[in-house]
Amino acid sequence: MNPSEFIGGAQRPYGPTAEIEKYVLGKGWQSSPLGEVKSWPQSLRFAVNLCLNSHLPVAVWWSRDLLVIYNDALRRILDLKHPEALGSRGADVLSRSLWYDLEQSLNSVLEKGQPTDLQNHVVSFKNGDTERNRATFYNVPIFDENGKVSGVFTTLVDSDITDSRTKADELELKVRERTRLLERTNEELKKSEERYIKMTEEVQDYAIILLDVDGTILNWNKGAQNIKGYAENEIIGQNFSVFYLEEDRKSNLPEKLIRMAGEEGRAMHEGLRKRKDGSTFWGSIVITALHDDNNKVIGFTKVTRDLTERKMAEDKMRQHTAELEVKNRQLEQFAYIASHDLQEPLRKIQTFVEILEKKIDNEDVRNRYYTKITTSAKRMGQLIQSVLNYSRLSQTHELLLPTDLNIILENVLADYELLIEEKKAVIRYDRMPIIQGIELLLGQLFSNLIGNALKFSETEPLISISWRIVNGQELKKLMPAEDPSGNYLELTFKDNGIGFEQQYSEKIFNIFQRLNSQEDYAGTGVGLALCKKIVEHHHGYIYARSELGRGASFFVYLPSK
Amino acid sequence: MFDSASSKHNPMTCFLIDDDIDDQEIFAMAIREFSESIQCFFADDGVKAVAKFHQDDSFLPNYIFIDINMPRMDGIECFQQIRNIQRLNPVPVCMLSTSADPAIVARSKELGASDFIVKPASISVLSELLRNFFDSNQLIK
Repeated sequence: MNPSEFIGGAQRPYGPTAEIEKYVLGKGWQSSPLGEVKSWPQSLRFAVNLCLNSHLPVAVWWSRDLLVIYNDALRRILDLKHPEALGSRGADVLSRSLWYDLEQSLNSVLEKGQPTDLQNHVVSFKNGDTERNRATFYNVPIFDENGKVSGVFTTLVDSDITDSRTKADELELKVRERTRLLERTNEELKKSEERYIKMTEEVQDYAIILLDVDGTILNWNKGAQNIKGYAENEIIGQNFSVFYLEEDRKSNLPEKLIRMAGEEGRAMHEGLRKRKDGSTFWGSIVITALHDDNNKVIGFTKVTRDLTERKMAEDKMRQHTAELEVKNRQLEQFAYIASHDLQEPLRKIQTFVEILEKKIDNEDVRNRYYTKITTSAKRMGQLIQSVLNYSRLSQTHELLLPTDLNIILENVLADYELLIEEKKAVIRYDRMPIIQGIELLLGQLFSNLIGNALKFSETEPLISISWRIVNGQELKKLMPAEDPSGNYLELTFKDNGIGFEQQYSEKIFNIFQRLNSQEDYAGTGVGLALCKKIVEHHHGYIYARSELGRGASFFVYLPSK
Repeated sequence: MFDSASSKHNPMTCFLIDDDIDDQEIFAMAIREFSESIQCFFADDGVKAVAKFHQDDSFLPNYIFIDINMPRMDGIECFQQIRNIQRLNPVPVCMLSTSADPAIVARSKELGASDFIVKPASISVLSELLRNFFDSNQLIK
């Protein structure tokens, strides 16, 4: 019998491949309950044909006796007595434990004509594989030409395959999910990194640069460009020591800082740095070491801030503070000296009054101490006036205006006319220049200096007033010239008076400092202090030269255009 | 005690160095308030006082008073010069001034001044201060 016969006359597209087909066809069916193949109903033949051609483990159960025909795939799985089992009752060929459950399931199909399945039943596999010993039996009815259920078609599916299929699916799902998560995280990281790079790049007020272990510049930001003046393409690849001044490079400051950062993790420094154009700025830097997983230094970050403005402000403030401190000390000293000198006549007046009270009846005493009281009171008045003059000078904010020294000199000489006549003084002077100054103050300066020359003399005073222009360089030794390149007007007031010992040449300019007793030469001790203050107010300098008994010379230097 | 028998034969001497002749007069009057026998010598300034010590080896007052504020050589400088004169070392020195600048008071103490008197506005108060000074700096007999 050829296969075409078996399948009911239809041509098979290919030759018999299933080994089992030979047994099915070769079996003497006459003696079996199924009878000869030729007598099989169409439905049975069709079912057997399907079974034999299936790659899945499949069986056909026929009639109420459940006579079985199986295929190679099933035979390979179930431990069957082949080929004897073919056409036998299921009850005779299957293990009792399997048949017990399967029979019910199959009978249910026969009775109800509805598919059943026997889930995850333990099956004794032929290959003894204990790991994969569960299978599900999917049972569907086979209907005959009259629509009656005459058999059952069973497909066996290895549960583990299903399970592992599900597991694989689950696993795949999980993997996919994880991958998605990873991708998302990665993307976020990338974005964050981009943001970070962007942020660093965009920072304008700080130079943030990356250095390798040798200090070679690896990246650059806007701040670095702003502060240091280099464009990115000009500077990357250069060593960061290009920002350092020559002397700092010579003393290996950049290397020291790098080494310190490498050893201690961080190095900080403040100092002058160089821009591309050679100008300098006051930088505050922090170099931080970068480490790999093995704690090896792999490079550095360097953050630089331009503190030039702050530094300048700080310096200015420090200078101001120092100036203020000096002024404060001067003021304190002034207050002390002023109060001292003002107290003196007051104390005397009180003492004299005390004496008078006791001896008011004595006319000599009366006359003597009334006079003394008057003298002290007058002196007190003078002192108060001179202190006022002196302190008013500090408040002068008048502008320096072109001032004709000739007019000033003439006015002063006019004021002293009587004294000059009385002392038979001779005053010689040049034609004076016009300078930038405050007329009132310069008048006071001339008046005090000429007044002193007239006062401190035992003989007929000979006073000469002269001037010349000197270079600021010449004055360097004398004074810290504000503008050493500028010219100065040198005014000289020379007299032939009593003079003083040179050792007092600086002291005489201190307020209330006197070299002679009140009895010999009356005065408040404010005149020369006032002169000094006036000259300083004009950004000038005053000094004196003298020898006791040989006259004195006062030199005044005032800035001249 | 200032008018004791011994001091009559060998009267106690004070030397005031002060440029202000009014203050010299006031000082003498304050002394007179409690002693007729104390002799007062005066110098018009530090330079003259130092010169006097150098010129006259026998001049050895029992007490020296120095005004702080004087022309040319001030009281502190004058005191320093006097400290350099060996024979004056045991002589108590008292500084006088119209006001007491703490720095100058400290400097005076540092140089070894026995006292610092701020000149009062009254002869009787000055007299009292001087008496206290003499009491606490009595001469070793």
